[in-house]
Amino acid sequence: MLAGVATGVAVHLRLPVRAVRIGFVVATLMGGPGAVLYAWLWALVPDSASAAAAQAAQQAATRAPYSGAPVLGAQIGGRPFPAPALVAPSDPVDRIDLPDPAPPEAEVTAGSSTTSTIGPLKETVLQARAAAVAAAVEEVEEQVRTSRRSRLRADLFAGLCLFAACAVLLASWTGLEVQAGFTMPLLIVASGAVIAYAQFDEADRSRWFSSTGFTTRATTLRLMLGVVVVVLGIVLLVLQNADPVLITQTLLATVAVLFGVTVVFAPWGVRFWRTLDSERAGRVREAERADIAAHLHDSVLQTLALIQRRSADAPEVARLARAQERDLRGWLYGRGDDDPTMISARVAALTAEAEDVHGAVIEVVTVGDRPVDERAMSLLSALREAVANAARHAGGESIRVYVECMPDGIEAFVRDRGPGFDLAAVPEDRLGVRESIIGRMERHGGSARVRSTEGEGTEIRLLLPDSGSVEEEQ
Amino acid sequence: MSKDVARPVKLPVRVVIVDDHRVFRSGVRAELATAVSEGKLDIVGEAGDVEEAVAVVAKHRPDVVLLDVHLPGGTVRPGGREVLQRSASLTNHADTADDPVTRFLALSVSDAAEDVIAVIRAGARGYVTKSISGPELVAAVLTVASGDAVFSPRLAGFVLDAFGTGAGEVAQVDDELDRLSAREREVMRLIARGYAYKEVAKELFISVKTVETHVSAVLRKLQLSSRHELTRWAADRRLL
Repeated sequence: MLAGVATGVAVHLRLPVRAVRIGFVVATLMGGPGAVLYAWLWALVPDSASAAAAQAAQQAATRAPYSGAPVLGAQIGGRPFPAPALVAPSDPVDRIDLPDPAPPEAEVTAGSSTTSTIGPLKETVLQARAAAVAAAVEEVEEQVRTSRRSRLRADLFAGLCLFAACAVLLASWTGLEVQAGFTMPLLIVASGAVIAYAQFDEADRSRWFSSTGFTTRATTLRLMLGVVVVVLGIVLLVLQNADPVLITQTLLATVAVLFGVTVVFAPWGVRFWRTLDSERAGRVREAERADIAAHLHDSVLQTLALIQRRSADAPEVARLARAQERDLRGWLYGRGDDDPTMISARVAALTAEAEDVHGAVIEVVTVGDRPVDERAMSLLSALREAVANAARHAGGESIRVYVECMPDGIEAFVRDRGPGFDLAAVPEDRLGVRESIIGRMERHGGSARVRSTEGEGTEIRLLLPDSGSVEEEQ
Repeated sequence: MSKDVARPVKLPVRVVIVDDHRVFRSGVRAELATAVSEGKLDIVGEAGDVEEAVAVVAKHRPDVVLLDVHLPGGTVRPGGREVLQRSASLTNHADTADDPVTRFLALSVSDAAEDVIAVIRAGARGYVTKSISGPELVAAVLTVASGDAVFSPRLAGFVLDAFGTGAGEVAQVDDELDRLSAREREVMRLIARGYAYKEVAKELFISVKTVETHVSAVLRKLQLSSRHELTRWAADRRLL
């Protein structure tokens, strides 16, 4: 009821949930074995979310073909903690525990395929498997989400309802003073324990020990509340029917003792957390180091090996070194221009490509940035052409590419220090400059200008004002 | 800050090379060899870390220090910044023939914006990347020696980025610290496009001296501006 144990048992034995609940209650009232059994099941049986996660992971790892209800197997005997059973026994419990109304056989056969292996086409099987894995993951995620959501309610109502139960019991058994004297404190202790233990539940354990702050404030508060309630219950249990003064004094003494224990153990606790923290940091560092080592191996060492092998081929060595430098630079000082939807990243990519293809040295300066849209793509295509053109004619000198994203448009310059050329002298059938650069820019409401001085090189300017885009889109 | 008033450069310009890689130092020596043989430059010392650099610079009082941004030693990062801070007394006085000002030209493989800005704001007169060619480097050293600033295309790009390229951002008065004047912006854009000072001058129909004045003004703004975008922008880049 509290933690969904009854539901789990009901699913497992295929009995009505209500019957199982009544069984638990009756067993509890007949001297307590029901409560003990309940607590035992709660503590030892893994909840469905974590079990399903484990199973999904296992299935993904072993690539065992399966189909249909992928996590139902995990729910055999599972308990979806914290089921808000006390509030609305029928609704959320069912939602959590039976996410897929598959036939019961699926529970038994989950893990061994029923349909997908029959399929004659391997591809179909694979697709089905992938879909099943995706579905399983989604389902597990959904369960975790649901259990998170319902946890809060479980906490609140577990406490409230137990207190209410106390009151009811007290009222109905006023004749049996001794009985009530035992029951009430026990119930108080139990409710405190529920509140406290709920914070330790499986779904949250990772959060407790995660690096993103080990716990939330609400969790701490609820934990404290649980502890207080438990202590109160124990004191009441021990000091039955004692006079209020004694109870008060005892409570005070208890608080004092607890305080003392805290003082003694706090440094130890802090040190424990610190150790844990530094271990975690160490692991992160180790992972980082491994990452760097892997990168250096994959890129730098490989390139160095290549360079040694091709040491006779000077242009090739220069090209390799240049490509490696670019790669390493991007990795070390990545300026955030690796988002492929942004202009700066596209410019970097297309110049890198030109360096590789033409063996040229291209220095790129980008000012401002903006997302790539369709018109920007046309500018980038023209720019690619311009860069290729410059690379062909640069004659080994470095090429300068300057792209500025202005508030009202994009402007790009490509400058080389080659011999320069006369645009009018370029034959009509040469598509390069005339069509791919000038024509393309003009079609998209921009402009291209080629300025070439013999002996000083060539500069191509591409301008794409924004105003055109609005008209074009409408 | 050193005075921008130009004094005729006394040749040879005395240079100290500061870099922690000996191979690179000898490479720079080789690049500058022609200029040295022509009597334009004189390499008076070398240093490999922060402590050594501060000592060598204090001892030789060179005209120009070619300063690697990332230096080992010291406590401040990047190391080049600490050299600048600890040599401040050599750069902050009036420039006279008897007591010449030492000027720093930052030289680095790092394109990381925060490093560039760190050394510029600590007082470097310019920034060039190590891929610079020999003749360009000689020209840069001579420019810095004469009290002007040297901007690589990339640094010009940084400046345009940091000071914003928006149309409404143009300074109304030239000495407004947090904005570039329209002319300064034009000069920066041409430098970012790969134009040499001479070409910038030709393009804008102004003298090379005027270009140098504009660049020095931008350098001053870069050093003194409290423009919050500048810090924010550098911080943004650091994260990535």
